[in-house]
Amino acid sequence: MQEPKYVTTPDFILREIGDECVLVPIGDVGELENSMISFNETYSFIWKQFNEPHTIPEVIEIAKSEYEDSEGVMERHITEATIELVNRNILKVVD
Amino acid sequence: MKTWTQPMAEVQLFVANEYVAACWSVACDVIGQDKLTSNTGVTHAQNACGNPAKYKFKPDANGVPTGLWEHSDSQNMDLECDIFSDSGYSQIINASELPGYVGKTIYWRTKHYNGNGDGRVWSHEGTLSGGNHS
Repeated sequence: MQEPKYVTTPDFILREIGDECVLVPIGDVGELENSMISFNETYSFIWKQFNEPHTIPEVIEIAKSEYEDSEGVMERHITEATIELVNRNILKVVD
Repeated sequence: MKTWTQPMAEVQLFVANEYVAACWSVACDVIGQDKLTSNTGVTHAQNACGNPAKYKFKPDANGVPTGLWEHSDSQNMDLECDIFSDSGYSQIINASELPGYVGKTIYWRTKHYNGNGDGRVWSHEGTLSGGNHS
């Protein structure tokens, strides 16, 4: 089965304010309207990878080239975070 | 190489406080000689008491006016206004009651140097606008 590709929706923009990354809704985003989402560095990394359509395994591979994962949790973290972003309609499946 | 840390996201929900957006406005409709005195030194002008920008309501945290002040350029000070609901200037309104007068004519008086001047009193009237902007 082919892995689905995900991509960020145009309803959110990422702004870096100091050392913090903030996702700001600019479109019709339902329950996240009137909110801001602050990402730490790794969450911001994940979101940025999906600015271009990627599968979860592809993002994991990119992360492995940039991060040291001494506890072996990176793959699970990326998978869970991606699913959460999809559930929140921050990422969408590429047709 | 950077060290991987658990991705963390925090959602900050902003709930609009409609009273934060409250704004109030009034201006005196009387032009020229004051209606209640023959003292020719008591006059009204559109660029003075007729200018809504000259007034302050100083709303509290709930957006309710705490008073009404008219800034007088000629006296170089804020004049505290006594507010009335009637053209006879007999029924005093507390500023906190002003939300009930939106869209209605209110009446207010200012005193020369807030009563510490030469005794002149200006009797104003105008339509109150304002309230919440949500």
